[in-house]
Amino acid sequence: MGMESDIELIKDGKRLDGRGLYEFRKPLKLEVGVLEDADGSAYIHWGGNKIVAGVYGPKQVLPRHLEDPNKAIVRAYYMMGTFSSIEEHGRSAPSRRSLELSMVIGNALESIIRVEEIPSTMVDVYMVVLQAEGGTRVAALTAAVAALMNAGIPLRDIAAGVAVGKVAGEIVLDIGKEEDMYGEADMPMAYDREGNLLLLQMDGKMTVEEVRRALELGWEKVQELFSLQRRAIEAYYRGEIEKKLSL
Amino acid sequence: MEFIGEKIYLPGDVVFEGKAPRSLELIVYEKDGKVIASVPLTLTEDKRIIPLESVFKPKVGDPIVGIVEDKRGPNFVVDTGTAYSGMILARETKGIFRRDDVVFGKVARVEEGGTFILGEIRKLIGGRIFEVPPSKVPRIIGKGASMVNMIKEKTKTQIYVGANGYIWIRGSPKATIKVMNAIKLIVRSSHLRGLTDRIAKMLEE
Repeated sequence: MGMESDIELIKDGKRLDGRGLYEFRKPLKLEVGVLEDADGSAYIHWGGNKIVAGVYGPKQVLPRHLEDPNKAIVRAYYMMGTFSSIEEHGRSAPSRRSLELSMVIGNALESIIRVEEIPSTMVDVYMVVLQAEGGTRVAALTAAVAALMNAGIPLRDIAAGVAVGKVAGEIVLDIGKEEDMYGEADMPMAYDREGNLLLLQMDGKMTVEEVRRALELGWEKVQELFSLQRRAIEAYYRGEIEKKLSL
Repeated sequence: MEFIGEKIYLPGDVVFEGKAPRSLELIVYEKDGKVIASVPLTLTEDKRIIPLESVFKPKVGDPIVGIVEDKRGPNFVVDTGTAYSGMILARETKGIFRRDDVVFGKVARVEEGGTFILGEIRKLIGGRIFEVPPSKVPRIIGKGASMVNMIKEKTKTQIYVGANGYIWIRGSPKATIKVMNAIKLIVRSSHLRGLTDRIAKMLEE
C-alpha cells in the first residue's frame, strides 16, 4: 500500500490488466464438491487466486472442555501454500497474518451458521491458498460459504466478499496485487444477502465519502458473487458435474 | 438422468409462506411467517421438501449402526462417526460388549448435548462398515425400503443402514464390493430421478 512507483495504474479508464474500474478479474469460477473425503468443499479460481476450501463437521468437540452445550464452535483456518506467491508464506507455524485472517473469516462464517441448531459440536473450515494475487481473504470466504452449503451445515443466509480499493484517485472494484501495492487504499468486505456487513477491513487512506461509495460499490457487485455461488450449487446438484466425469 | 425437483433453493431463499415443520429444523427455519431454506434443497411436485445436503442430529426412533469404543462405568459408549455418541445402558441389556464390536440399535431417547441412549440393541458379527454422508441415507433406504431390499435380494447380502451414515454389509467379498459400488453411485447421484432402475441394471451386470 502506498509504495512509490512510476507505473500508471489507470489509463483511459482501463486498469493494468485492461479491465474497467468496476469489473471483476477473470476468470471467476467456483466449483463445489471437489474433495472426496471432506463433508463439503469448494474451489475458487478468481483472477490469479486459486483457493480450495474444505469443511469437516459437525463433529465431536476436541478437546472436550471447549464443548458448548448451547451452540456449535466454528473454527476457520486460512493458510497460504508455501508456493502460493513470490513472498515466503506458510513456513513452520501459522504467521500473524494467517491467524488474523482465520479469525476474521471465522467470525464472518459464524454469523451465518445457525450454531444454536447443532449444539455441542464443532465445524472446521480449512482454506488453502494455492496461488495468490491479492484479495485472497474475500475469495477464500466466498469459497468457504459454498463449501458450507455443500456440507449441509444449517445456514441463515449465504455470504460473499470482495475487495474495493482506491487506485490513482479512483474507487475500483476487486483490486489485484499491483493495485494493492501501489494504490492508495484497500478495503475488503463481505456481505450476506440481507445487506449485513460481516467483514470489513481497511488500510490506506480514503475520505468518508469515498468509504461510503466503496461500500455501495461492494454491495452492488457482491450480488454477482451470490449468483456465482448459486450457479456452482446448481451445476453440482443437477448432475452436470457427473456428466462431465463420465465422459 | 433428470433432477428430482425443479428449482434449487439456497440458504436464505424463501421456500413458501407458512409454517416450518418441527422435524425439519436443520433444513428450514421460519421468519416473518415464511419458510426459509437453511441448506440447499428442492421441492417435489407435491411440495415435499427434499434437502440436497444435511447433517445428522439424533431423533427418537432413528436406526443407528455404531462401533463400541469405550466403557463408561457399567455402560458402553458407541461411536457413530458423527458429532454425537450413543450409549448402551448396562441395565437395559444383557449383552456384554467389547471395544470394536459393531452394534445396531434404535435411538430410545436423546439427552442434553446430543448424546443418545440406544435401545433394541443387536450385535452384528463379521461383515464390514461403509461410511456415507447421513443426508444420503433416506435415498439408500428408498421408499418403503425398496432400494435397500432390492440390493439385498440381488446380491444376497445382509445390510443394516444407520441414519448416522454407517452401513454394515455382510456377504461374499465380491458381493460386498458390488454393494459398495452401488451405494457410491447412489451417494453421487442421490438427487437424480430413476435411480432404482439404474442400480438394478448395475447389479445385474
